[in-house]
Amino acid sequence: MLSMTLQLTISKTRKRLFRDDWSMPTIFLGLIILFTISIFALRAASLGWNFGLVSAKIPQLVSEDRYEEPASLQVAAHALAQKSENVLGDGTITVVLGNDALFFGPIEAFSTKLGNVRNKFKVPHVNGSPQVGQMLSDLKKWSLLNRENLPKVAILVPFPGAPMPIVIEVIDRLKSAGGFSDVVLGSGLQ
Amino acid sequence: MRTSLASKRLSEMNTRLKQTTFWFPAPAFISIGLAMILTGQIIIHLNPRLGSLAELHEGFGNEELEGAILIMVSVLGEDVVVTTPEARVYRWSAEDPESGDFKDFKAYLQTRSKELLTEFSVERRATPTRTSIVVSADRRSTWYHIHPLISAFAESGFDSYGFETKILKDHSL
Repeated sequence: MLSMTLQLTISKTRKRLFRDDWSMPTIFLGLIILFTISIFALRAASLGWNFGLVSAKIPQLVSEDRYEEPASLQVAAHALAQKSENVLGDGTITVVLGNDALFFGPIEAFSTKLGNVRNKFKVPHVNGSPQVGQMLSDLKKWSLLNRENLPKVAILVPFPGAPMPIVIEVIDRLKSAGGFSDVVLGSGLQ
Repeated sequence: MRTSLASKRLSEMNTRLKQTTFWFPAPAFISIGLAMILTGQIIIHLNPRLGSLAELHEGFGNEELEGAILIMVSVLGEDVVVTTPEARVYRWSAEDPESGDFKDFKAYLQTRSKELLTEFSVERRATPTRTSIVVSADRRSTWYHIHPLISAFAESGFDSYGFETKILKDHSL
């Protein structure tokens, strides 16, 4: 025979357990979590592509004012400039992506010695497609003949109407097959 | 007879309305769910390419610049349209960039540059990739459209940038 107090407690517990006050908030919270996961899943599914990058470089200029800095920095900056293989100079290879051909040569061939026809080389496009492989092959032969090591940085000057996919492909080939660690893009070609 | 039928129907409805129903909020959940999914598609941080019309070149780029600033460039007629990850849109004429929003774009880059410097000084740590810019250039764009951007990057103190490509999954193609 259960006491009245115990029966009352059991009755209260039954009533409490039968109450479904929390059922709706629980369902709502569960759905929010489900939708949140769905949002990320849908984004992941809709993006779909892996994105890559073909990088280029903007050269940094070291001005003469740097030498007014404290001696330790002077030494450090000068040593860095001397040791770096990525310094632009007269021998830096310049590749001009023309409308109908690729041209390559040292930077002086396109600046101070522009009139000299023997210091730059032409690789015509085939059906409008730049022959970067052929140009790199010629470039290596030229560097062997001149007994010069190819620098690690190249300058690419596309003609203004060059489609960006072609420019990107040429940068990619210069870096992957040409062995250049940095490619500097130039403009101003008329 | 009619009265008894009506009272029966009333009684049935009374009983039905007293029962707990779960179907009632379902339409609300569906609408809330759809709104959330739609929001997920347009939240800027989930979709940094929001609003960009750029169709990317499919290539084999293999480098990644985690945390770099994404600049999306597309061409609409004679105009260059640049979209930033914050969904800001800058538009200028390809013939005369200075006539449009090009100055505002340069101001945006300079602001970003200053923000990065502040972040680096607060964090006491600089991440080189965060000072780089990823140009997501439309495949219809030419060097004529893009080179003013490179000048703007240089003017704002950025020295590293790259062009984004879609990586083809099957390299044998």
